Amino acid sequence: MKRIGCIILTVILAGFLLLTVSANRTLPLVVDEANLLTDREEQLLGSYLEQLTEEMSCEIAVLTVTSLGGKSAQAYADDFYDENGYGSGVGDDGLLLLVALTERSWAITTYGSARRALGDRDLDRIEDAMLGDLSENHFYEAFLAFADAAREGILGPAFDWKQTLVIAVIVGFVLALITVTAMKGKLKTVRRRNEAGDYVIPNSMDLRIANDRFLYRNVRRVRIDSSSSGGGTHRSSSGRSHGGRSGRF
Amino acid sequence: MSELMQYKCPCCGGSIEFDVGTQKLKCPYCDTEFDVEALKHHDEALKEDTADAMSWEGPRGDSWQESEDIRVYTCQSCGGEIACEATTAATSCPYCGNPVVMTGRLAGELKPDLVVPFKLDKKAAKEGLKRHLKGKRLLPKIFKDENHIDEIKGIYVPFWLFDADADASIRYRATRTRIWSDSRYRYTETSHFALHRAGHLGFMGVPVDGSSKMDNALMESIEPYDLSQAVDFQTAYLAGYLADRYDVSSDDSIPRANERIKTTTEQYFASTISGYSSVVPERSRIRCEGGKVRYALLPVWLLSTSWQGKNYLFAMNGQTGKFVGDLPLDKKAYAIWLSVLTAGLTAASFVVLWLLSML
Repeated sequence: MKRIGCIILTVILAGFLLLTVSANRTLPLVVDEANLLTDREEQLLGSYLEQLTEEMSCEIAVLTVTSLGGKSAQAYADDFYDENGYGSGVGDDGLLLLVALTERSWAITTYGSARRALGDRDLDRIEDAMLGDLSENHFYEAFLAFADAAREGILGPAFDWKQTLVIAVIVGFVLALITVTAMKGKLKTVRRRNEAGDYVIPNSMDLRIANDRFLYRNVRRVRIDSSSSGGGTHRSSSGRSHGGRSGRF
Repeated sequence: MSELMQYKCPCCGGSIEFDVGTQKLKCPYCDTEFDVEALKHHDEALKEDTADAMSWEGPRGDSWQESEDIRVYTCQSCGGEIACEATTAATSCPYCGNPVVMTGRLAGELKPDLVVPFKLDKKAAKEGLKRHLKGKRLLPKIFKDENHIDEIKGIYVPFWLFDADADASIRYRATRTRIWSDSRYRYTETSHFALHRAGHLGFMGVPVDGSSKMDNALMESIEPYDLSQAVDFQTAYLAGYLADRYDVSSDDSIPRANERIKTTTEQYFASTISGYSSVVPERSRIRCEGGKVRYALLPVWLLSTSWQGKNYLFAMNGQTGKFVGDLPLDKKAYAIWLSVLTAGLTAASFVVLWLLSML
């Protein structure tokens, strides 16, 4: 009896330990198993991803492998993410880009807040941003493009001075024009009066007939565009629900 | 034949004028005041006197025949000739400055039913102009500084006042929309309705300018007049002011009154409709019943000035002081204000956009 209790306690403790371990990342943000990056590039990318992770409060990681070993790229990325404890905070929020050299395929897996933040359109943009460099084997540039596009998808676009200035000039001009037109309007006071509201005898209105008759009704329906939801979701081997997409380059 | 009348002070013989402050006739020479009502008898007596005066006005007709619109009178104070337009009912003698009233222009069928006496004097009109020019940043500065008023005159303008009971029957088409959605579709339901509104609306004293010389837009801009202060017409009220008789008949003025009554009636009936997302009038039938027309003289101060070869005419309501008149635009000031405001507002909106992006 005592032993059974001990075993149960051990199992619970072990489970706890496993959980805590799974919530803590054991690998760096850049895992270059296929050796696609120089040491210098790996270091620079690593520190850039660290910086973005802090800024977005959600982890962003890059993994390169030589072969997927028969798994699909998406499943590989999902499982790698889960098994190595990627993700920050209680929700394990984060995203990971996998590049497999032999299969020439890539996959992005998103989880937690990153899954909710990155919809189909955002994933389109990320894909567009990195795919060119990826297919030309400019991996470092492709990873940087992935990181920037993901950042924009999660935090919204970075402050664009030029565009903001153009908008500000347009807004400023329109407001100024409205003000000056109002000032100009003050110069004109002679206007025909097409109504005779001042000469209505108070309470003289007698509404003899006031009927509202219903004629017909029609209903139009429009399909709701669902592209803004978190992209298609799928389950990893651990049973967690991931977002993202995969493809070839 | 028109008659000429001057109100002579029974005390000193000077020409007396209507005084705005006391709303009485006042002799500017000896300061004696006369009640308008009390002078009524005097007025009638004077009319009889002027009948004699007509006999020595005869010969002048021939010499002025080339123009039908010009009439000549002889001033009873100084004997000078007063030439004026056929519609002039009150003016002043160009030689002695004494106010004269052509009673014939306002007698019989031409006799006005009502007059709203001047409540504001010349000084108030000048102040009105000063107020009018104030606070207008795009007015050329030089216009303000150099503004010498060329002419300022108090004039009784003939108006037709229309009283009517508008009988309306208006049909509208209206829609009401409801929007909801489920997980797959967004639904827009539009319900169509046919509305009918009918009834009466009473109007009292809708004014239409009865003088072709007066710009209708200018006259409509200084409305409204408070007709509760109108009094029965007495020629004595005209002393010291200019006055015209109507030259646009009441029949010719009806369309304008109808137009205004129709617009307001439609507005009133449309305001009884609520709860629809769109309302479009379909058919509108408005008839004016029991229409009554009154002829009134309403007080207007007219001020004119010229700037850079262009005339600017201002009008002030002689009862309420409402002042109108279009003013010239300083194009340079316009450009400066536009660029300065654009620069300032651009900077402000840039800061706002920048702060918003920080959130």
